[in-house]
Amino acid sequence: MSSSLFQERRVYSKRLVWALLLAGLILLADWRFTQLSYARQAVSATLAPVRWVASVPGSVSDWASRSMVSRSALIEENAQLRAQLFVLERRSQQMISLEIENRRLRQLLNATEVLDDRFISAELIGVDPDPFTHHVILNRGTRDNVYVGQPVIDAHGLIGQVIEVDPFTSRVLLIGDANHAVPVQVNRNGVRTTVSGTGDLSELSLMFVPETADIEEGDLLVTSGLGGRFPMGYPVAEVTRVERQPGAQFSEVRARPLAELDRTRHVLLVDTQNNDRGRRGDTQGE
Amino acid sequence: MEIPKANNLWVPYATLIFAFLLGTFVLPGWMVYVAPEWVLLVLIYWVLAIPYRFGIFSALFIGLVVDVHRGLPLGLNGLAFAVVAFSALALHQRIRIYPPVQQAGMVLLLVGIYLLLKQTLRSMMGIGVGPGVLYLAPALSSALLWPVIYLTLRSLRIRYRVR
Repeated sequence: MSSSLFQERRVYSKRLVWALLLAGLILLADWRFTQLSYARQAVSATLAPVRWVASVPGSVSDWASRSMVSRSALIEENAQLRAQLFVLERRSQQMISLEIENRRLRQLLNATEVLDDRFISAELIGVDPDPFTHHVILNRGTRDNVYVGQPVIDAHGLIGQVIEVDPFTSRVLLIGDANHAVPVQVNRNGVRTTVSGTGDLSELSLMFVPETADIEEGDLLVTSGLGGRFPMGYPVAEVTRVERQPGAQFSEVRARPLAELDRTRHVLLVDTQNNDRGRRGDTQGE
Repeated sequence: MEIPKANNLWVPYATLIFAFLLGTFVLPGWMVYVAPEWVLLVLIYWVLAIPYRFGIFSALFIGLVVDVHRGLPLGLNGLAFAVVAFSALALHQRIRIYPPVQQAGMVLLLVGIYLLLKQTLRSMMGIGVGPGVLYLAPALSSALLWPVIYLTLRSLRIRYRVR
């Protein structure tokens, strides 16, 4: 085959047109329809080893720092944990009786029963390197009954929700991402609002708060359960700044997320789908 | 031009996988903004070196894999990679004879094209957009790294007679 430079270039142009058409179609199909999600899951599952290898250095340094702690530091930590446990146990002593009392009162009020949520523990195995989005990768996937839309929490509050799963891993969108919003209510008085991310993991903003709304600095915001995605009552953020501008339609309210979005390594996936009582026996949680 | 018999094609694939791994690590602090586009750089090298093996469609495919890996809409990187591969192909005979430093200038342009396209698509689809032209920063770091990548990959290609 002997071809001149110009012929070669014509071939390239033709190929480019086809490639662009194909890419455009795929882009449109993935954006608007869901048929491609299986192909995506399959490719993602084959990429799992790459993710595991990439998480090795972190695990090794974790292991090293864990196995090289001095005895005195361990003893100190142990004492601290004991003290903490003591406090928590004291708080939970009356929990059982309060729970039953609460259930009885709700029955008297004919209110629907609040169900216990089940949890799956998960570990963070990767952080997306994209500086303009906030995604993390967890080591649980469809194999562990993780589903898209599942809420994720840590010991202090809400972290985010699952946006993509493959058999072995799942991708979580953090509440600090500029594309994320959570329906919440003020714990003190039940004022409902929505908290959205700002792109900065240490600051959230409250959307469309009327000038007259009763929100103060230091208020605790908990999930309201509206929208049906997040279960009710998980702490999300604490209000840090309220700015009311006379004449403006909405006041500007900022909040600090309670969960350690940029530090946490161990998280819990809340199972809200499989917790109705009839099906309670079939699904296993950890 | 006669297309030579395939030889040791695992080398390009291995380097691409290695680039994938490098791209997975999150750099500390402000360095996340200048993280080089490892996969794209390695891809550009192989397109320039063996254009009869790595072309527009291989770039499209690799881009799709990157999309899955990064959790982006499928085809976003695919499309941008294909355009970069086309530009690299169209210029490969010229770029090949440049010294590495001058090549770095071309790489700056190629990666810049990629970043512009990616950013345009991202903002069209409403995916996290950063402030100002900060998204172009990886083009600089990629160009600075190019001579190192070029010399490394070239020595690999020569040693294993990749064709």
